[in-house]
Amino acid sequence: MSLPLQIFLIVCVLVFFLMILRYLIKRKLNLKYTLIWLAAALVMLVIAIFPQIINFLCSLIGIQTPANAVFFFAIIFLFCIVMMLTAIVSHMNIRVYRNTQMQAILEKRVRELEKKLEEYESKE
Amino acid sequence: MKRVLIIIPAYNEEANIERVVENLKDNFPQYDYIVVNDCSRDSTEQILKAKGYNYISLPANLGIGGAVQSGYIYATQNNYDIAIQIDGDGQHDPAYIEKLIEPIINGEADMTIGSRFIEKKGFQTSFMRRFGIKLIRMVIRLCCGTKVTDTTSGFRATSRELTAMFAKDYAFDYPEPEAIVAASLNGFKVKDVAVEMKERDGGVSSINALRSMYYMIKVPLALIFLRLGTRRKKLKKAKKEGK
Repeated sequence: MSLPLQIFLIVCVLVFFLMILRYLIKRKLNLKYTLIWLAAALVMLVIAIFPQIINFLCSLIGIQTPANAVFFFAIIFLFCIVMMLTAIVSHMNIRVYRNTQMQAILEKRVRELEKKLEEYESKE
Repeated sequence: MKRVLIIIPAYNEEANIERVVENLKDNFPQYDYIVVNDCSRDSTEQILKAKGYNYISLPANLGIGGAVQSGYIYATQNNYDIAIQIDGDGQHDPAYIEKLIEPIINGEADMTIGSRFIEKKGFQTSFMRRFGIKLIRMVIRLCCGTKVTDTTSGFRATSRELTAMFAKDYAFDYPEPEAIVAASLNGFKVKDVAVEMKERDGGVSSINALRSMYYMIKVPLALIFLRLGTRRKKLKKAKKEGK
């Protein structure tokens, strides 16, 4: 890998890293779900600095072109993340349902209590 | 006297809801009812409010499963013996409720499903819909051995215990077949009861071609996963609820 490409990649990873950090500090991202992205940024940084790792992985599982190995692992990683997000969404869905239902039932109670209170006050 | 709650899920039912509720209030005052307005975009909620009907209004659209489950939660919170579900479009005649709750009162079943296919009277729905219902009937038999003819019927009654279970866990979309399997696998007895259904006279049905496709793929899969994920419990002796 040429040095300019390497520097470019390292800069990209650093920008990505700073972006995550900014979101975290502004509390727009939940650290719980962001740790994995921080870890990914770290892995990418290590690979950008020591690209030999990719060559080693290639020879290990028999991929001819290092670029293909990069794509392969990137896609696997993204698959996992998307699956995780789907699981999180499913879980949230249940909680949103429950909240909506409980809110509606409480709203009915409040409505009825207000009506009773009105009747009571008009009697006094 | 059993305390019976009729749950009426309503989504954009401004054309029907008044007639359905008035019929219940006039002719079936022995049953309590609750309308669950599933965040309708038409004037359903205004009608419910203006008429002073008993209703809850969901602040977001949850679909039929979430709406009916709200009714089950309400029934459980208010200690009802039996919860009935009927459609908000007037397809189901409340005159059959007595027939529907009888097996539950006598302790023969925990859940009864109103079926239009036993006596084959009244509105029999389209060919495609019947085909889908038959397919789901087969899948249900495979999953839990329960024989139910009108698998997608939304005219059904549940005992107190089963209502409490559904209040905790109920399928989101197209919940009717899943509820049958969930009840059976958890040891509740499900029974078919012959009823007659009418064709809806107002409003628009929520079924179209794409949805039917989704339905035919999603529901059988959901049933199979439910079977795989639930350990079959021993058949409960349907409790004869003290009179």
